[in-house]
Amino acid sequence: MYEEEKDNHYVFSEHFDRQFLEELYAGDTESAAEVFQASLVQIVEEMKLADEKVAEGDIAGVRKIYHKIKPLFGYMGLLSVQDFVQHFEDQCRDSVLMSDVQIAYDNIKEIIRGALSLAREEQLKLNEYNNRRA
Amino acid sequence: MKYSSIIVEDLQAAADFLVKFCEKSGIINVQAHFLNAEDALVYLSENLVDLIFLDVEMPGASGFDLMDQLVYTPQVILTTSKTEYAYDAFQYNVTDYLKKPFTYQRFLESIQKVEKKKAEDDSTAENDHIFIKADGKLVRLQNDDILYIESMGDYVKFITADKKYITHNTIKNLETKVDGLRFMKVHRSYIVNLSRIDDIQENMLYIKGAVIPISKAHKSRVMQKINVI
Repeated sequence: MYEEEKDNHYVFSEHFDRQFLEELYAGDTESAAEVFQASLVQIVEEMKLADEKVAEGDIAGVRKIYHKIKPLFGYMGLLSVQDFVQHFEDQCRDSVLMSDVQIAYDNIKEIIRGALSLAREEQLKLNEYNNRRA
Repeated sequence: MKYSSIIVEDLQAAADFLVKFCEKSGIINVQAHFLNAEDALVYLSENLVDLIFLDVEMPGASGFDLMDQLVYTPQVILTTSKTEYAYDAFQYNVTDYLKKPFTYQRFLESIQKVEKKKAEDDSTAENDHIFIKADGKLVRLQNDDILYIESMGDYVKFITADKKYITHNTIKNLETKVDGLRFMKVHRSYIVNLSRIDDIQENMLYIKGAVIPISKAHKSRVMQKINVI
């Protein structure tokens, strides 16, 4: 019996908002795995684009990218990360120069790196669980 | 009742969730998904929907820009990850405001609001006009201007005093859509504007020179509806 399984029911890891994820996916772990996979790919791609915008000093462009990926953390049950991204988005909106938000940008990237690591782990667990049930 | 809808959302994962929730509800039919407002507007210029799930911030035009350009007023549920649009949402009289991500339960609450608003609109609407798809656009026709509607197989012809409009529809479908107090089906191929009937002779009625048959099945109802002294 895997730790994340109880009574044949998938239990998300403690780092995630379990109650929200259970409401969102209602036991559909196949969908959860798909959303985790798609979100991970999209976040990584968009963050690369954000780096380009940073290099161009395009603060509005950076804000738009982070606004776009923000809900993806919610779909992965990382609601606190979603809040951090919102805070960063607000800082971008209120700033003129990229240098004003450079520290915040480095911080949010660090937070997201940690979040992605947890999400990848969870996705593997979801895949294992789904494979066992298949 | 089934509500026809479109999703305007640049985040594929969010759109996928919405499609699943709509299917699960059994009452929302998603006709199309658009990644930006511009493509949605092209679709909406030729198609009528009851409901739009609308993101606010998208590449190009925003959800509010889209609402500014609508020629008719379907219900709108804003789907956004930001709460600060709430005031604007209120100004635009949207039906609900869903913050992404949202659960199925929260989605259902929104749909209940759609149903409630529909019931309110039906009871208070002036119902003085309809929109039809014709000539590659949505054309507004005042009820007063429509003389009668004639079946042409899978198409119908709206006859006004000035012009004829042909559109893809059926008399059977239109019978439930037009204002029942003003319009009436008098034959399997005709719906007439009761206020525009000039005279009735036997099983025929006359509107601006046009002769329209009244079927036996509809004759008694027609006679009940018109004011015979």
